[in-house]
Amino acid sequence: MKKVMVLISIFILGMSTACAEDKIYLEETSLTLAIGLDLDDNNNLIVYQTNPVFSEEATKKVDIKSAYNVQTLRQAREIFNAMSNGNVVGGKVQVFLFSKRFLQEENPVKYLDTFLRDPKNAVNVVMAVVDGSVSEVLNAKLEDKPRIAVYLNNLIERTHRTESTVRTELDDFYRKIYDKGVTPYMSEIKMGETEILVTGCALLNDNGTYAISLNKQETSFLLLLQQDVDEPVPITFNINKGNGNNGTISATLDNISYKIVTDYIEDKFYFDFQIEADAVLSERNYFTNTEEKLNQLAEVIELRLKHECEDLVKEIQEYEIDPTGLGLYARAYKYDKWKNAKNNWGETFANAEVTVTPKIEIKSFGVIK
Amino acid sequence: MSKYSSENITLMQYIFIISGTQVGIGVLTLPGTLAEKAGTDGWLSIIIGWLFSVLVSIVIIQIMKKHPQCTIFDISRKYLGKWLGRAVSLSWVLYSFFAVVTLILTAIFIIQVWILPETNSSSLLLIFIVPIYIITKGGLKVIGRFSEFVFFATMWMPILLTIPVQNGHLLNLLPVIKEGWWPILSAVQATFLSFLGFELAFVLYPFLENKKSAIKGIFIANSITLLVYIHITIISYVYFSPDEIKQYIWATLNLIKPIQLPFLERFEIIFLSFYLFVISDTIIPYLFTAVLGVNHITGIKGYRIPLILFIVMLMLITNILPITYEQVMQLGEWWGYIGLILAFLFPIIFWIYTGLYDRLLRRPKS
Repeated sequence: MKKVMVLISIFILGMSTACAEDKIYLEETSLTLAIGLDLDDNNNLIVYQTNPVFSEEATKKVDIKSAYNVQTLRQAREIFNAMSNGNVVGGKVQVFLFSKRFLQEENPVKYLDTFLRDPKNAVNVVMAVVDGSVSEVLNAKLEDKPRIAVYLNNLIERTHRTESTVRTELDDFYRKIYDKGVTPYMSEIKMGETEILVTGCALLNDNGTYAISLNKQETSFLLLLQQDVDEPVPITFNINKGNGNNGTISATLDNISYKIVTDYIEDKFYFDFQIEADAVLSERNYFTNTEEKLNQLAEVIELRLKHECEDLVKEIQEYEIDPTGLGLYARAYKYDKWKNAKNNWGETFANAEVTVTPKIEIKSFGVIK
Repeated sequence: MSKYSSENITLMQYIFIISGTQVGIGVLTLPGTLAEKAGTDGWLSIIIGWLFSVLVSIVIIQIMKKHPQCTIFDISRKYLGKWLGRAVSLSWVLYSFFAVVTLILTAIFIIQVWILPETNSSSLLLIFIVPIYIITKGGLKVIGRFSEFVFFATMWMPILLTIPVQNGHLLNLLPVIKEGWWPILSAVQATFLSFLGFELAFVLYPFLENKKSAIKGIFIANSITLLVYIHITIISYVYFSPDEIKQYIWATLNLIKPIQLPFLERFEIIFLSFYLFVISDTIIPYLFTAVLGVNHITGIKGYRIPLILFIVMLMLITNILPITYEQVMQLGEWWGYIGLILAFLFPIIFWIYTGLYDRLLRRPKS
């Protein structure tokens, strides 16, 4: 008898809480998978969202909606609610798209507040900048691809793994916004003729507005400097062989180890990236009469790598941003100097001297000579 | 034989009850609170807080050692006389019950914010109350077993919390002692609230089977707590950037939120569900202390009547008090202050008093 009473009370307790007010019927919700923010010609905000359609009668598999004349995402949600089959929920959002123009004009941080404040919303949302208009990308006719939001997420994940773009998720983005020693960045995509293309990454200012875009190759060097690479790392260089001959060599880097020397000399921060790696030659499209020696090739790669990385850093410094996160090193190793510089780290970093010292050891040339 | 020997607990249960009581809300809030005061050096404050709580714990055992069959309620009557002793007992009862109220309201609030925003607090209270009633009614032996169960059932949680480290920067922790010792010392007070729980040795001591290992046990309990807090604090500092962490009220939950498996998102819901065990493990020993105190003051036998009384009061309180952010934070702050007086200052003063009392009043007689 006692056991029956206990069982009944457990049942009642379970029912009274789990099945009370907080239940969600999947049929009555409309899951947002992608959110896009863009500006119209008069610089008014447009919010886009896509929902997967599960209904058997519907012929389209994605439902794309846009909201005009709104100031925030929650306001946009009210509008979407008014024209959806169900209650719009943000817990399964996969991608955030911002048009380049939006980021040039507006600060994205204030629009994203609800995604951190409301715990029901997802935080592992991948963020990307669209070179062009957001609606073009969302409306792309990709008949051989999964739903657009899922596809974009996969696309960025895959290209990130081959070091062609960065991958920034919302929580990551916030981390970089609040960290004074690093500036945020996002993947950059573009609508091609028929396909969506990943073009590299967009570097943002410390407050989240747009600063500069990097192409895929520059992005891979950025990732190398950020120590955010999946080994082996493919790299390709154009080599000027002298006497008018140009060639290209490709190699993959492996067993990469980093050491970053931080110093402060004569009112200037000084950073030296010491990158040690093994390289395997994977392609070479020019021929030499004499067989190139191992260390000679290593020297060539070291020199190119040094130039590419240092050029990249110089370019970044012009915009007074620091996506490499060297501010973290400044804070960790030269805290007293950092304290004075932290509130305008971008400016201080622009004056810093950054050198890259790669040390490459050729492991093999492949299977042919 | 003492009246408490029928409910003896083993050393392991003693350790787990104490460390289980200590590890509570602090797991969620400590990293953020410390970051506000001491930046990423906050983890050093925890070590200092641990030193204090170990010292006070040893003082408590020193007091209890002289009367191995007595709880604080018996001892305070012995030393302070009937009325003053009763006042001290009553303040312990009120303190313990206040801790219970604070903990339950905070737990309900966190669940409402993170998981069930629409569910009303009285039905959430019900889920808490039933198991708490059943376990507390069983006495210290059952509480000891529950604490052991909770310890082993929640061992996976620190492992889960270690996952975010791979996306973090160890550099955030450097340099150690950035701004000198002052911010670190000023944050120590904030860690005291998280170490509260050792003071229950005042009640647990007579129940302990092997009283010789009481000091060893309380040292281990404090150290388990230290490890739990250090672990979660360092991981939060490594994962979040130093200025970002101040934005979060429950940094630990924000730490878990990005963790995702291909088939599972919002890991913090699972974490919070198991966290309810952790927090009941804090509530139950305090509730037991309050019940024992009432038994002692009023002379009522058995735990059932005072327990039902407390539960009715809890139900009234949750219905009357609005459970808001302000309210919950205020309660936590008050508990911290009262705990500072009763758990940290009272043992030291009482120890000096009992020492003097024994020396001045007992010796001449013998």
